[in-house]
Amino acid sequence: MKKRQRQVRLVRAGIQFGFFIAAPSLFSTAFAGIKSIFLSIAQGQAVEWNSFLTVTAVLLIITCFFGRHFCGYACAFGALGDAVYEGFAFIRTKVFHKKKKPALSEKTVHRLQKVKYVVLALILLSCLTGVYGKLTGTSPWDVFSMLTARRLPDGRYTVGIVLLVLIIIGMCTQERFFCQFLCPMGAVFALMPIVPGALLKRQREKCPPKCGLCKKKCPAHLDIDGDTAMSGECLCCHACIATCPRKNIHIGSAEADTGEEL
Amino acid sequence: MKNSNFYMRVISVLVILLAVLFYNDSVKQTANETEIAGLTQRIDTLEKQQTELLTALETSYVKRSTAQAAAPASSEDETEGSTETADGDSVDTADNTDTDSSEEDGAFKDGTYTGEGSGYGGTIQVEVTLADQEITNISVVSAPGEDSAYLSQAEGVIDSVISAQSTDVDTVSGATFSSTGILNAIDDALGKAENS
Repeated sequence: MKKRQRQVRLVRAGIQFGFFIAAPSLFSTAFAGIKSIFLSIAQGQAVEWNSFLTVTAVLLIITCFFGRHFCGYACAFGALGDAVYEGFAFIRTKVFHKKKKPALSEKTVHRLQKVKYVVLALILLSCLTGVYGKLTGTSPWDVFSMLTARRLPDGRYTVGIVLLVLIIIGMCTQERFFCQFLCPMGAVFALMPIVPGALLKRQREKCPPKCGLCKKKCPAHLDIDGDTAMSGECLCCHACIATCPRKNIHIGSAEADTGEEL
Repeated sequence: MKNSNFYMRVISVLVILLAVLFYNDSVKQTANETEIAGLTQRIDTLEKQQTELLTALETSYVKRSTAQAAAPASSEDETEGSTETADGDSVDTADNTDTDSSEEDGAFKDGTYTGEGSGYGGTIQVEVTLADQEITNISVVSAPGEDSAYLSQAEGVIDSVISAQSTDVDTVSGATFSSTGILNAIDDALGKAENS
């Protein structure tokens, strides 16, 4: 059983690494598209199609039809989150001999998941009011993308550097800390209508009573039940599929084969 | 209902898309209206000028014919004519000042120059073509460190530089690094083109 989990995780890690090298700025480009809409509205101009919006549209359409696999497999910042969390957990077990991985309680996680909508609203509001132009250097994403471009951010980016360090500390406390709680693009993805056939669903009738392994393993602590108000939170990490001892979780309908998995 | 979340979200997304389309439409309509208003005003002024010119011509013609009919008092006639042409000239010069003022830096050698500036992830190289003291063409030759989506956004500054004939223009929001790099590269190229 553990072997299957490790296999799924390793395949995902490989794909994440590939995307990290090849396209580390996809997530911020997609969000730049969203911002460009609000910036042109703020200036009273018509919303013109631009190269950012192409990336945004492609990612949103992929998400609608295939779920948030971009978040789970392709986002560079998500990969950083996984690396930091798993690296920290590894150090904890090897150096400090603590068995349990760090994790927040289910209730806290569900509450904090709402914070990203506030972040999204604040950023878009700053675009609309024109404050955004004065916020250069405060974005932790700018600092991150400068680092991936092998450039050192200078003194103008102090606020962004501090925020990035705080986020990295947060990433140690909970799997996918940033993606779940703070990512404004994640908030947009979570609001998208995802085709029910692309959502992970478990066959509850086949589950033994009081199992709940999948929910425990899920970074977002979801009841993997297909289309619910929370289903947008699923990052498509496929950990639940690998964990379920009865192989009860599939994408889409209960009878669907596993060929749909990446 | 089954999948009610999904349907609600589809409806919301459609509403948002329609709102943006509606907004775009209304912005374009107001832009059209202001343009039409501006053009109508111009037509009005032109018509007014036309009638003024016509009446002036008519009066001078009447004056001239009456003068010829009465006696050959040629000296008076000429002064009348000269003021007329002076009037016409002043209109012309007013039109010219527009194009003249844009050529503020008249110290460039014509030709094509390359310049470099550092963008987001590396050096951006541009080629600036100057003809008759004017920037006629700018193209990005190479930008290996730039993300393609950002670069094509940043290339928007090129149009504003050509229309302003100056690098003192706003950078493209969202692609600040790349557009600043392009502006610096253009400055670099212009520096080489300067007559010193």
